[in-house]
Amino acid sequence: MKEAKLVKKAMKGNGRAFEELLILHSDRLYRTAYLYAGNREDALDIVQEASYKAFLAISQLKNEEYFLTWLTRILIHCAYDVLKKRKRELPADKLVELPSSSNREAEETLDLMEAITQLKEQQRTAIILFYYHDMTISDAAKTMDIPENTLKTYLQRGRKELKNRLGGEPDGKENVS
Amino acid sequence: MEKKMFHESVGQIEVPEEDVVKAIQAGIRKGSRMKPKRKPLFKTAAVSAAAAALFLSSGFLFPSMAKVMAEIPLLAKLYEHDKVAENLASQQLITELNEKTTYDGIDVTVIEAYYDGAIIGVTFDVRGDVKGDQDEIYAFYEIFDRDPNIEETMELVKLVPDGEGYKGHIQLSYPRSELPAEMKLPLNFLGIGEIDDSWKDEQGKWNFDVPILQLPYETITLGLATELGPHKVTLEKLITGKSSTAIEYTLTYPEGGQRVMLDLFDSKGKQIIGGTSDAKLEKKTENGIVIEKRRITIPMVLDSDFIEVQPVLESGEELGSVRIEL
Repeated sequence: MKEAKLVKKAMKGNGRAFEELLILHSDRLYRTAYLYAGNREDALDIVQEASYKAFLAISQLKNEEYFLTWLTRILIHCAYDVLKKRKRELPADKLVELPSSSNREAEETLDLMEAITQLKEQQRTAIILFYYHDMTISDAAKTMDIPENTLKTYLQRGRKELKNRLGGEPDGKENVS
Repeated sequence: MEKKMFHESVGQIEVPEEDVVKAIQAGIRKGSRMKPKRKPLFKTAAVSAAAAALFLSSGFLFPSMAKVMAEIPLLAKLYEHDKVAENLASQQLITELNEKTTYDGIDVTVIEAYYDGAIIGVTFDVRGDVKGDQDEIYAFYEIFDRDPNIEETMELVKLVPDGEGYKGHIQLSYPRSELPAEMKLPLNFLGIGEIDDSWKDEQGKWNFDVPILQLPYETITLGLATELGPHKVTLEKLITGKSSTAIEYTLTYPEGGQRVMLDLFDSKGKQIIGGTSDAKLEKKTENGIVIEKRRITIPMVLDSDFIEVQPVLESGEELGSVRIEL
């Protein structure tokens, strides 16, 4: 069934359609959560909490076109909450799972993941929305409820930070301004 | 940094698919324990921060309202999903009230209400010993003392912090078939604070009979019908309020048969979605045929010459559409 139809059904309170929709996006939900949590358990917690909150609020979504953006926002807020809670409980660096690997490519990936989980929240969100969710500057700014220029600043700072942490590799051609 | 590289890196995060599905299902289960089973009758105005910010920023507001918003951000936040309230407020058609109830160190005061066509809005203030994270405070309420003849009587509303306390706004469609010109709306709050699963089993603690006076409205008899096989939809009445519109209609269908839903479109062919609510008013079964009276409310001023009503069966089959001239 087409996604738009599922969203419509879910907006009318159909739990099964809602579940189907979330499962449809489950990889992206989990991976986004992981980019905040840095470990599997917390990422799953974030997905569960976001499913719960989104289910409670679905009837308040007014326009099905915004479903994914809306869901992403909820997920990000849940991720912030989990991080906040975790900060109170444990030092963050202890929780990032980094399995050892001899493969160079895999190591680069792990470096990038680690670097992302160490970014400030706003920079991290800007980077995730723009680079992973392929949002435009304007959509990412709306999702974060900030002006476009602020978003651009977060992106620039985030990229700079990542570059520093990853050993100062030359910047790509992606231009965000 | 290239997007491609980023995607490749993120793509290497292994997804424990079964566990993710379980997490989703667990979240939904938890949600359905808190949420009424069927489609909510009301549209709450102060919603989750996520949804709120999204709509705030999507240019849904009229420029004049945007200006007002900058001046009174709290009111705007409260009304941001209630176009009727927004519109009535600008015409000063909202009644101020001051009805206070206290329970367990928390004062709840109903401060405003309106009743336009078939739509009711109530704004309330919460002060006192509210426990929990300021951004996660909800009120759980019931209307009409959980009258079993009404489809939905309980709902959650997110509260907006306001100085020392909070404010909340609810909008609901009047769920009965007669629209009295004057009434007292039974509104009871069962819980206030961070969401608690036990609220559903509570009794009302802050109880109100909110005095409500209907604004002038017009009724037009329609008598327009469309059918497909044993399914028949008759549009009976059009109710035009100051800032909202409602359509009363009758569905006729065989018992156990498919449900019919109405999709509404404006003269530009754009679907009218923004918070419409569809409530059952009466239902009876005669010789295996169900006759159901319903009312669909459109909580906004329509910028259109007509409403195109498109009834659709659950299977996706469409009945002939019917046009209501405005």
